[in-house]
Amino acid sequence: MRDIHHKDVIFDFFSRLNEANLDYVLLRNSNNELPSKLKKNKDIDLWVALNNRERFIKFLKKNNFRKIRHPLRKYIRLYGVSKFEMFINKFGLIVDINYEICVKSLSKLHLVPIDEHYQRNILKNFKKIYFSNVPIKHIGDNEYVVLLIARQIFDKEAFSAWSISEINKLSSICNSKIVYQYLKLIFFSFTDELLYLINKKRYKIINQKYIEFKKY
Amino acid sequence: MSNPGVILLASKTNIGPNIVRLDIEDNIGESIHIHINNFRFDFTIDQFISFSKAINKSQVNLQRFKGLDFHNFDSFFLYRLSPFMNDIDSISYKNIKLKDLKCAQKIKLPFFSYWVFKAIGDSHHYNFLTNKSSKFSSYEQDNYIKVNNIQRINNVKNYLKKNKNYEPLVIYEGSNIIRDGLHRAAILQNLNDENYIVKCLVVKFRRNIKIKAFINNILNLFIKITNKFKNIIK
Repeated sequence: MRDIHHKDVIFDFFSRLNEANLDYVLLRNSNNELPSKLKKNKDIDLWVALNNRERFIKFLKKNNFRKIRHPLRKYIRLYGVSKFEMFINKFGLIVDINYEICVKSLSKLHLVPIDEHYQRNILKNFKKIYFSNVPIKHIGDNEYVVLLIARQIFDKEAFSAWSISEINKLSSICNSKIVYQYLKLIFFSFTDELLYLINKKRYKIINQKYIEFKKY
Repeated sequence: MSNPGVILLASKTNIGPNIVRLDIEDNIGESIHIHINNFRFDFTIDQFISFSKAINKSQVNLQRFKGLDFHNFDSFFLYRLSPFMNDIDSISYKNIKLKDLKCAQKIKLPFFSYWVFKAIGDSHHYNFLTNKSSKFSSYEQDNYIKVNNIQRINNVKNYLKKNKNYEPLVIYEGSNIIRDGLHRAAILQNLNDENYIVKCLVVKFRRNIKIKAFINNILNLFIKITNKFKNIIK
């Protein structure tokens, strides 16, 4: 049995999603695993507008997806964050739906939403990419690099080699002013030091420096 | 604005008749928040340290504590001691051989945990230092954020190797159980032997705090069970 999804399954899913005219944004495509290298135990991470939730679930059910337990269901969602939801279809394709972009808090089992200003721009600033000839709404570069940095610090607690290469690639094409404004909403006074450490490629010490930061 | 970089420094509920909630949070890069009921006070790091020093100074000046500086206590122990601070009658110092002291070790079962009292030489801490057992690495204890058990014991060991002066271990009058300082005790026994004499600070309470401690434990257990149920329902 293949442990990688056939690319037609991916093409079919996104084609139907586009036809349904739903507001969604693909949040990541690690190591360009989509459309042809997505392992069966990995999921597709989507942001969906909360006001589209009912339509989106109807769409998934119509396409033979069923709801499964979300791995983060035990986390306490702060600031009234909506539940994450996870669905699977008969091919084992897993879709992870985020209605708000969150990161894990430093406190145990807490999920905290990223600032509203950032959330609002997810749909506004998406970029179109193509899997073969299927158009995909992918998170914009500025929003993506910020999400990548935040997730490495809060969720992964270290910068992986892949994330470092993504950040390096994105840093030349992102709007530094916009990225700075977003980071300021997450890291506050630590933002300048964070950007300094990223520019100097001192990724290994970022998490430690963040915990020890006292200039505020 | 939501700050995901929050470290909960302390959290207490139902302190006296008026304080239902007291939370102290470090919001990294932003400010220190002290939540008292529905009020929130924001401090810079410098302001919070000044505030903390002022509280400590007033504590030191209380006659009852005879100049005892609580700032020298381990923060986690001080936090656990806080419900009983008002019951402290006096403090004194005593030199005791390590072999005459006992330590409390937590036994964790799937739904609850309990404590057993052992000689220092039988503790997970000592067994780790003498390479007898590796259970210490997963032993549940309070640590500073991003510091694991091994880093913590090694930090204390390096300190004790360089410094002869260490904070005394804490025991309660009428008991030989170490309330604070098991890391120090295990390391000193490892570096010396069980006949090594250590300085202990003896806390005497005005009244028997066992009933108060029992009620406190029951309340904590109730909060834990409630939280477990909440998680199961989710």
